[in-house]
Amino acid sequence: MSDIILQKDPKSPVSEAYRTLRTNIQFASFDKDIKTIIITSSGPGEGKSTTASNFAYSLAEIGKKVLLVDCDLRRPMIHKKFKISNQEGLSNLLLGDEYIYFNFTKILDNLYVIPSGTIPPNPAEMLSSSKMKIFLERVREQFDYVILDTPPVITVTDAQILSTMADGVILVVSSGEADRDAAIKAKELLLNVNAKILGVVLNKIDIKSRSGYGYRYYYYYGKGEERKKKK
Amino acid sequence: MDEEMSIDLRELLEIIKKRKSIIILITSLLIIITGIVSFFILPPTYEASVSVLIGKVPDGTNYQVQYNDVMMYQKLLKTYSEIAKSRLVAEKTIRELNKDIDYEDFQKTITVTPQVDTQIMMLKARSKDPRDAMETVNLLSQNFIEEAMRLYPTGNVQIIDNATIPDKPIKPKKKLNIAIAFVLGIMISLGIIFLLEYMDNTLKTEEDIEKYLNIPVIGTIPKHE
Repeated sequence: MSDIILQKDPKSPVSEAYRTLRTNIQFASFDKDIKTIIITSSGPGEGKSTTASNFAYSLAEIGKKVLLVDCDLRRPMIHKKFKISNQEGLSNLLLGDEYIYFNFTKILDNLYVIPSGTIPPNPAEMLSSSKMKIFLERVREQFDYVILDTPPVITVTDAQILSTMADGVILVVSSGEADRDAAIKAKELLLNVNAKILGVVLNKIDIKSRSGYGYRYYYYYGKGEERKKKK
Repeated sequence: MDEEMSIDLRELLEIIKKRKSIIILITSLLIIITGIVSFFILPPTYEASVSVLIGKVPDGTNYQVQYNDVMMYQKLLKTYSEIAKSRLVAEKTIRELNKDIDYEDFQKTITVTPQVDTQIMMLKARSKDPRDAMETVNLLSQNFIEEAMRLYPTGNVQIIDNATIPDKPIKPKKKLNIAIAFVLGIMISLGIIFLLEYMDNTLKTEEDIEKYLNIPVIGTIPKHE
């Protein structure tokens, strides 16, 4: 069983929150062609990989053909989320010539995952290579959405490089953990390379406190559903 | 205006609620420390007191109480209390008690208070030992009376109540100390909480994101696992 809450507990309020995110992105990409989306954050541990995998899963749920790529070639996480092998992945694919025939790991009929692969010594160069660009252009044609999980934008330049090749960036901000100045810096760094910031995903909201005040509604709604099922 | 006020209060309550463990921890720690200090460490202090009445020697001719006399002795009460506090009386008492303390230290253990608008004066002595407190204040008042009679032969000083052995210590005041620790603990921890809150510059709410980043919030994910 994977660590994807949408798969484990599809009726939970958290799953519902990811579906709301999906709807918002769909609206954002209504008349603009937003297919490749970068998930990043200002610092580590804010929930990029969790958001990326659940978001990709939520898109696949409504029949979109989705590819999730772990572009974090430093501390890859996606393979752990889906409990798949990280023997071969993006780095191997970029090194090889025959990347078109690379076998993506199939999670659902329409959800594919490419883990990071072997950790290379030069992640930034690899991600800025023309091969990466060509790869993204190819998968863009084959999929409805391509979700790219990246390292934090402040510590390394990877996310900045990738955002020049993608259609939009989602900034994950962990409630009560993300430093205000770091988040502002992250935004500036992304805007410096003309990235299109689609919006912020406010993660890890404590629904018991006032910060999560407005979210109790669907929290209780979700709970109510569960109760009905038990009867 | 009212709206803003209520929101502020609710936020304050929320901050307090979030960090209530700090309040509980600091306050209970202070109470425990104060409790240990006042129950086990501070030695109990006992106080014994004698009340004396200062008046006129009855001369056998006029038994009527004269208003002027009453007024005079009320005014004289201060002078009498100085006599009671004097070095002469104190040193005589120390000698008779066979105590090995000097005048200054002895002075700290006794208090002399003239009762306002009366002819009564209270002499009090404090000691770690209840019996010692009683003996000290009884001797002190005797010596005081002797000296007072010598200095003011027309005045009459009489003991109303002799000292008895005090059964309860007056210090430490355990309940008061603990109450102070409780109030102080709450105040200190509130201070710490608000300081922490003030220094916390993490982003928490959608409003924070819009205020500092000016980026729309497109998803809000509750904490899970």
